[in-house]
Amino acid sequence: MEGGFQPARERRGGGTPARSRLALDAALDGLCAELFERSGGRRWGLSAQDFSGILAEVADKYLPAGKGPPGKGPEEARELLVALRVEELALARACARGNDGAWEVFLTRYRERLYDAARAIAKDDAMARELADSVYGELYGAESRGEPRASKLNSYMGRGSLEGWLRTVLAQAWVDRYRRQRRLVSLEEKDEAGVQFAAPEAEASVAADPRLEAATAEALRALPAEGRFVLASYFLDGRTLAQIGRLLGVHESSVSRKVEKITSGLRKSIRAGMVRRGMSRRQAEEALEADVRDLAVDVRKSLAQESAAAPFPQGKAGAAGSAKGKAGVRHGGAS
Amino acid sequence: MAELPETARQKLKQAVAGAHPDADLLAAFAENSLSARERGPLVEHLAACASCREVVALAAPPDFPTRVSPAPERTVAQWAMLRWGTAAAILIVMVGVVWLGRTTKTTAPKPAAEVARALPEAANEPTPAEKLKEEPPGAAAAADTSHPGAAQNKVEPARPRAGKKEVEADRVEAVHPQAGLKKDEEVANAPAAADSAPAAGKARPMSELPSLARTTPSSPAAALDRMEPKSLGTANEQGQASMPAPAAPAAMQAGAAAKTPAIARWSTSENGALLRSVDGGRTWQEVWVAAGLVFRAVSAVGTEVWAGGNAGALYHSADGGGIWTRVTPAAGGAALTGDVVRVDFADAQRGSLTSSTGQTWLTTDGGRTWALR
Repeated sequence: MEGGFQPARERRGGGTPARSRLALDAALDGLCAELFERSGGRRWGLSAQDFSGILAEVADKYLPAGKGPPGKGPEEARELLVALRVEELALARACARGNDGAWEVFLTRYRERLYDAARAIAKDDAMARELADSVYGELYGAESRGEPRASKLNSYMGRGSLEGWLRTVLAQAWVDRYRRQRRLVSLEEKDEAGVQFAAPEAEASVAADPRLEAATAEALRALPAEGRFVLASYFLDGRTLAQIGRLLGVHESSVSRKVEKITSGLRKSIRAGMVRRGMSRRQAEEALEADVRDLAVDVRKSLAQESAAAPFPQGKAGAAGSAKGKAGVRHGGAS
Repeated sequence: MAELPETARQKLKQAVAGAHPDADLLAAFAENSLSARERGPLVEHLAACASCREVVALAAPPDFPTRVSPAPERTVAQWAMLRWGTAAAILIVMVGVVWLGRTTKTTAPKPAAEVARALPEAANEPTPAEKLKEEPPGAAAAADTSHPGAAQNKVEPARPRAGKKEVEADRVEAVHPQAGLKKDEEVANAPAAADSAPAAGKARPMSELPSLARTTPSSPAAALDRMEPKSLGTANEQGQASMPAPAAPAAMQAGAAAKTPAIARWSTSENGALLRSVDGGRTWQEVWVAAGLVFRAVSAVGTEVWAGGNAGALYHSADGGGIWTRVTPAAGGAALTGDVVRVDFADAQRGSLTSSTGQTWLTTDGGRTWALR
């Protein structure tokens, strides 16, 4: 079906899944054709039908199937597809198919950047080269008789830039392979074993008042996800304000104000929660102050190491946390 | 910074996240290109998952700029004039405020005649910069007019200063119709803009503007004319006379104020946007050239800027990013193929570019003609 989406059952590897919602909307055929032209995939040996199949794959992955009011699906699909990096998507998929011309362009554009990114991650030339080479191997893929080339580039969906995706793949490989000595469960192993990669529980020097614990849990649940992300990045991971700002797309001074505001607001909420649970204001204040003083200074020290940027403390706490992680559920909300 | 209670710290560590998002979503998050619908759940996951936080932190795009064109060195004399010009900055601001008040009354582009009449008035303003009118003009990057296209992208690119009244008038008429700016408004707007954006220059009387006669195309057609040997040669000679080294004399830079340095730096973002900084790289602004372009390489020598990108896109600006001309290297039946991945210009005349298909093109006449190596 030139210029349109293939029915789901015709996709490679498809069993009898429901038809792609995009296959139902012929109005997107024109968009597919336009995106194909914009992608320049023809020069890499991709056909319009090939590219339509790729777009259908992207849409099926990221659009909530069967949700939303009728008629909104195509609009969401259009929004998603228009925002894709189609040129990079075509290049990546052509590389995955083994197109030499595409590989030539890919290497010209990304080879040095990949090594630069690996050096920035590993901070060591030898390890960076090893990291980059291993990822390159996965990108190039291996061919099996009768099977298409198994290239990692097939999993690039064009949501972000190809360079950003490559950096993320490098970072995942780094976190996955080169930090196993920190007794972390790998992302892949986690998926296989159904284990959640949860943070270990740190050893508390003093048992916290259950009212303090409950008030704290309540206050954290009430915080927006971004607030918790900022707190975790700053206080647990030891990220700098500039690093956090870069991730959120704001200036570091905004992050500084945000951290201050969230932390002081959190303390007020915790205090109020303890008062609601029967403590006097003075008791609540004292419990909170004692809780802060119990802050292990060594926890801050371990978080302060820039290169390690360990999300978890070392030692017994790490081991206890690993055990807790393995026993944890696969899906769950924040406690 | 307020302390985080230890109990809160432990609760954050104990948070259990859901399934890990794929590399595409994490990369899109790091590049701030996720929809609100997708960003919420992903941030929720990141708040609870230390390993994914580490991945996005490691994979975060490097700080701007990704590549920076080297800035020419300033001479000792220019540094001395810069210091003197800085001392006169307050007076220039006052003049600019008065000028702004007089010119903001009108909204439509003035005819050239009116602009020309405005020049003598400005020339009567007693400013220290007038003493340097005989001096070689400074870098065009300190210009204080705004390119409409760039202005739409929150950029006020440095435009070359025009000394000749008629040339200025021509350039006003050639301004993008969407700009709605007159030359005097452009100048007048500069001081206000300079307070809020490093890219803006400060308003100066027209008489202070250095001569740029016949060097800057006032229309796309004129831009193409510069490809002709005669006009280009003339332009270069005049350019050298009227547009000296990017490091402007202090007085000119005083007009641009301490907030608007004379030298622009260029770079490209990982998303293919063309970026310019006029404050030594502290802040960067996107420069709009044309729709649908993805830039990979940029090279600048003074106000001569070359930017190359996908699908053989090669653009040249002779005025520091105000007006762009598409250039298509071709020779002996061969044409540029692939993406432009590298552009290098040693000076305004000699340069080379490399494409993703392995081609290397050379020019020795400022891009009028090219040879495939």
